[in-house]
Amino acid sequence: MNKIIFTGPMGAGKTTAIGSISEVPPIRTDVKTTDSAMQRKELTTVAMDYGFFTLDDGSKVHLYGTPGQARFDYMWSILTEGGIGLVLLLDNANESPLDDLVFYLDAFKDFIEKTGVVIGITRMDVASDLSLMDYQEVLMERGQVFPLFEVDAREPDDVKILIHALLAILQY
Amino acid sequence: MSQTSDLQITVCGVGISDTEKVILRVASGILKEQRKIEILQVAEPQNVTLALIDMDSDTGREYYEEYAKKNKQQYSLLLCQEALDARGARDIVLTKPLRVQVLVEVVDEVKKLEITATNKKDKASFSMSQLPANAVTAEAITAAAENEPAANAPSLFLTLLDAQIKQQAVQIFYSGRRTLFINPCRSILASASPPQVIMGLTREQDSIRIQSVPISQEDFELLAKGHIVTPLNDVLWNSAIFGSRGRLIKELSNKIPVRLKAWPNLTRVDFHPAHMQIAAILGKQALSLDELQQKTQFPIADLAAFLNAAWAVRLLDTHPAPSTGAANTPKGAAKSNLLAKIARRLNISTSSS
Repeated sequence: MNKIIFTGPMGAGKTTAIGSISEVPPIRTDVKTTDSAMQRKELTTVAMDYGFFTLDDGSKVHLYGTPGQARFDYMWSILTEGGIGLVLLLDNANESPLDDLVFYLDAFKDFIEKTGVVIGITRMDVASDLSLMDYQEVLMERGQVFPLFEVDAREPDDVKILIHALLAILQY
Repeated sequence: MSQTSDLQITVCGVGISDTEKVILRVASGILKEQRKIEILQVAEPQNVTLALIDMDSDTGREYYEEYAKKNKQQYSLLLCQEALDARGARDIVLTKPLRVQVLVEVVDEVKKLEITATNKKDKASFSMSQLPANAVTAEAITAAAENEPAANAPSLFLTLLDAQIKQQAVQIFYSGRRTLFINPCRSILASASPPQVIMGLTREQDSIRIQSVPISQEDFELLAKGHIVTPLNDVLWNSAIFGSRGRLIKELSNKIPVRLKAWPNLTRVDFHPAHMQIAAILGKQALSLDELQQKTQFPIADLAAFLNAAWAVRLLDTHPAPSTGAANTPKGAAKSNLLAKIARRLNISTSSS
């Protein structure tokens, strides 16, 4: 099964990104938030998001979004099984997005090594404390050269560029 | 060609604002750099060649009424919010805001009149038809320059690159467009034009001449105040992609391997499908331009433009550690086929041209 995995913290735009390239509206497993995250988002994904698009030979590429909250991380290894690559979305307006970057790169380390990762930073226009260069520096310190772009998850073109980069790094 | 002259013009500002003082300073720098004229700024307005008078200030109005109006030897550049009706023979009226390029043109015109007057020993009265009171624009100042041969003219890319290397703030005059203020220390470009227009300029840079002048950080803060800010790296990237003229910059060599330190922000710059592949390759291994061309078969001009752009925005490691070889792992045909199908389905072009 061909799967592309979308991960990142709650509110980073995973569900929206999947919806922008999926042939069907993403199947969501949202519930009302009850914790401190409620201030930022009314609904959150507890199991996964799902969408797909069909290739010209009739086969499907499945798009899975991991639950945003870290306490559901037991789901992550199940979802990544057989995946062809990872799209990591980070919310620049989050409390500590650089920590999020490190956390997700470590959490998906094995999967990234086997496949590849592209990173999209959302809401750069909302919060300007961090620039793309700050994220680049974290990656450079870790000796990692991953595609890293400013994106708007609502823009299909931005999401396509993420997928394009993922295809490029998987190819070479 | 620019005329070289030993003529000195003395200038004094009367009642002008701090911003206008900076504009006078920048204009002086431009004229000096062009070797057109030496402007001496003096504290006392009496007996200067050109008095720059703010007619909206009490000081300026008093000076004009008491002295400048009666002085037949002095040119008066009258700044005001609204055009004045009454003008003396040597008065030049400009509505605010004062622009550097306008001031440069005015001073240059005064210089020509002074030379003529000196030669003829006859200081003819100033013809206002030579200078529209408030309609002198960037087009006017660059019109003459555009008639000059463009071979030695710096491109926008090289001008920005030079500023970036020297970390020097500069002001760029772009024919027919608004002024650009560059601050490499803060990685920003400020202009009255929105980012889309600025990015558009980079695509047509070869057809337009520019002039630039270094400015101080303090001058940048004053001149760029209230302008729209565009990330300098985005403009630098685009200007390299469209302004490299098929050649590597002198800081790079086609034989020396280089590697990407980080990916460029391809969602916010003009993006070519080939860039994705080049970045994917150079993100994993160090290659020279020649090796890269062999591997990708992409045109040298496209590869050189990418490398120039990556170097300009400091994403290129020119002394990389030896590659591990992991990047050369061949991908299975099935996987390549799948990736190609996904690209087709999402209308992602992967061709080099």
